[in-house]
Amino acid sequence: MTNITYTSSDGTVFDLMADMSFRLKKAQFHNFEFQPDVTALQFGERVERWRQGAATYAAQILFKGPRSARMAALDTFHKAIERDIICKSPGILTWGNSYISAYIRSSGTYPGESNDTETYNDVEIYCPSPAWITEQHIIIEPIEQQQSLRETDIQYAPSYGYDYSYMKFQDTSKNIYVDHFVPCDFKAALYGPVAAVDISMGNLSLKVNHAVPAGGRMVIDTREAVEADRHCYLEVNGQIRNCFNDRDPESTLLGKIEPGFNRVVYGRTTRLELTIYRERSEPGWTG
Amino acid sequence: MDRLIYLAPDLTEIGPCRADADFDVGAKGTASNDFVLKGILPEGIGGVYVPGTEFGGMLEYLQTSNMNDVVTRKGFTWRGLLEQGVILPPSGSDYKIVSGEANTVMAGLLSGFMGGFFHVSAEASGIIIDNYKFPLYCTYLEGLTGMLQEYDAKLVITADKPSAGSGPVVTVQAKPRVTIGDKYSEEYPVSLTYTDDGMGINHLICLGQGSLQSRTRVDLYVQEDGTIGTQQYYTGFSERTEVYDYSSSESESNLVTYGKRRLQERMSKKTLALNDADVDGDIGDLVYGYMRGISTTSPITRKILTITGGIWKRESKIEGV
Repeated sequence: MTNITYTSSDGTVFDLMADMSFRLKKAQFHNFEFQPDVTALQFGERVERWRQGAATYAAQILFKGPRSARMAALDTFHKAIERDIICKSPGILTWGNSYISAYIRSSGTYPGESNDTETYNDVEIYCPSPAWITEQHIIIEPIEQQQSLRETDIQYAPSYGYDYSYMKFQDTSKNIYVDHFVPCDFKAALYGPVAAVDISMGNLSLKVNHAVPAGGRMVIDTREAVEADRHCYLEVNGQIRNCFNDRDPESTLLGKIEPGFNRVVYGRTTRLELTIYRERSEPGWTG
Repeated sequence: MDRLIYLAPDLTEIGPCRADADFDVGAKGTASNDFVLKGILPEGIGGVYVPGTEFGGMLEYLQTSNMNDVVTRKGFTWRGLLEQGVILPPSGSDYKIVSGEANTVMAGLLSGFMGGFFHVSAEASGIIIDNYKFPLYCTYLEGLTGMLQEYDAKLVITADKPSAGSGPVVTVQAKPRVTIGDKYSEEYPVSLTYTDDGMGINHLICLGQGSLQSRTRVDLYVQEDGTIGTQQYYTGFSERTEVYDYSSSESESNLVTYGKRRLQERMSKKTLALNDADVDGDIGDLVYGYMRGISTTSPITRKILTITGGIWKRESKIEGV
C-alpha cells in the first residue's frame, strides 16, 4: 500500500492511509496536462514551448467512527489546511517517495448514506508548482588523508636484484548516477575544512572562493523556489552567510545536473552530500 | 551565465532574481533606457544585472500597494545612467573638443562622471578621433554615441563580474560597427516588413540666423539616387517642400549639417523592418535585409529584454521600425 500523507505548514502530519477512521477514498494524483504555446502557420502550428499550469486534484476523504471523534478529526484537519491558506504557506502532499507543495483550497462535507458513522469530505488540492519531486541522495565520503597517497610495492622478477616501489594517487573522482530522464536541480553540501570550493560535476563547475571551516559546510542549492540569498551559503553552527558573491564568474553555479553518469571531481578531503531533485508531472509509479 | 542577478546597493551579488523584468536600452529618443522589476521582491536589493550584457542597473523607484505583496521597482539601465550627466565645455572654451584613440578619449571624459563608476576598456579600438566637437551641453550618452557614429563605430556597454568576491564592473568600449546580414531575408523564417514611403519631402528650406530678407537661407534637395545636394532634381508635381527653422545655427556650414540630418529624416525612403526578432548584434551595428529585390542596411537602435514568468524574450529594433 502506498503511503499518502498531507503535512501542513505547521508540521502536523495527516496520514491519509493510516486507518479506516481517516482515509483517502478517491484522488487523481496521476492526472497531468501540458499546453503548447504555438505560432499559427499557414498550415498548422509551430510549437514554441510547452507550458504546465498549476496542478489541481479532486480528492475524497472519509472520516469514520463515532460522531464526536469524526467532528474532532475534521476540526483538526480543517484548521490546519485553513492555516496554510491564511499564512500563504503550503503543506506537503506525499505519495510514496514523491512529494509536492500543496494547498487544500476547497472543502465540502456530507454524511454517509448508511448511518451516522461516516462523513465524506470532498477537497480540492491546489499545487502552484505542478512538479512532484523524488529525492535521490548521494554521499561521497572523503579519502582519508593518510590513504590518499598509497604506497604499493611491486615484486619484480628475482633477476633485478631489488624491488621498486611507487606512490599511487587515489582517485579523487567518483562516478555518480543521476537516475532520471531530464536535467535536475540539486543541493550540494561540501563539509569543511576546505580552503575553497572547487567541484567539477559532469559538465558543471561549482567554484566558490570562500573557505569552509571545520564543522561548517558550504551549500549550493539550484532550486528556483529557494530564496535569492539561499542559493550559495556557508553554514557554521547554525549561522548562515550568503556566499553567492564569492562564486567564480566562470562557474556554472546554478546549472542543472545531467541525467545518467556524472563524474564528480574535488579534493575529497571532506564529505560531499548531494540531493538530486527529480521532478515529474506525476508521482513515480515505481517509487 | 544567462541569469538575472540581484545586487546589493554596494554592487555585491545577492543571488538569482526570479521577478518579472523589462529592460529597454537604445539610442536617445528610441528607448527609455530604464528597467522595471515586478513581483514579490526581497528586502535589501539595490539593483540587478545579466552578466556579460548591458541589461542591468540600479533601482531608484518603488511603488507598492496595500492590496497585495507585489512591488514595482524601476531604475536607469547602465546606458540610461549615461544620460544623467552633461558634457560641459571647458572654462574659456565654447565647445568640448576631443582628439585621440576613442577609448582613451572616453576614459578621459568619464573619469570624472559618477565618481568614475564606468570603467573604460583599455583595449585599443583602432578608432582615432580627430578634433571632434561635442554639441553644446549634450548628455554623455548623446555625446559619446554621436562621436562614435561619426567614425562608423558603436558604444558597447557590458557588466561583468571580474573575479570571485567582487561585484560587476560596468565597462564601456568603442568598437567598429559591423554589418550583420545574409539571414534576414524572405528566404528565412523571419518576419520582415517592407515599406516604400513616397510621402516624404524632397526640398528643405533651411533658415538660419538673421531676420526677414537678411536671414541665412540654404536650400537642400534630395537627388535621384537618394543623396542630398544643392541642385534641384524633383520639380513640378513631384516637388515636396518643407521649412527647417534653425535660428540658433552658428554658421552656414552648421546650418547645412543639421539641415541634411533633418532632410534625411523627412525624405521619402524605402525601409525593411525586422519584426520582433533578436538580432545577434550590438546597438549601433548594421543589419542587412533583403526582400522583394530591395536590400537595406539599417542600424540596431534598441534592444529589449522581457522576462515574464521565467520566460525570456529578447527583441532588437532596427531603425525605421
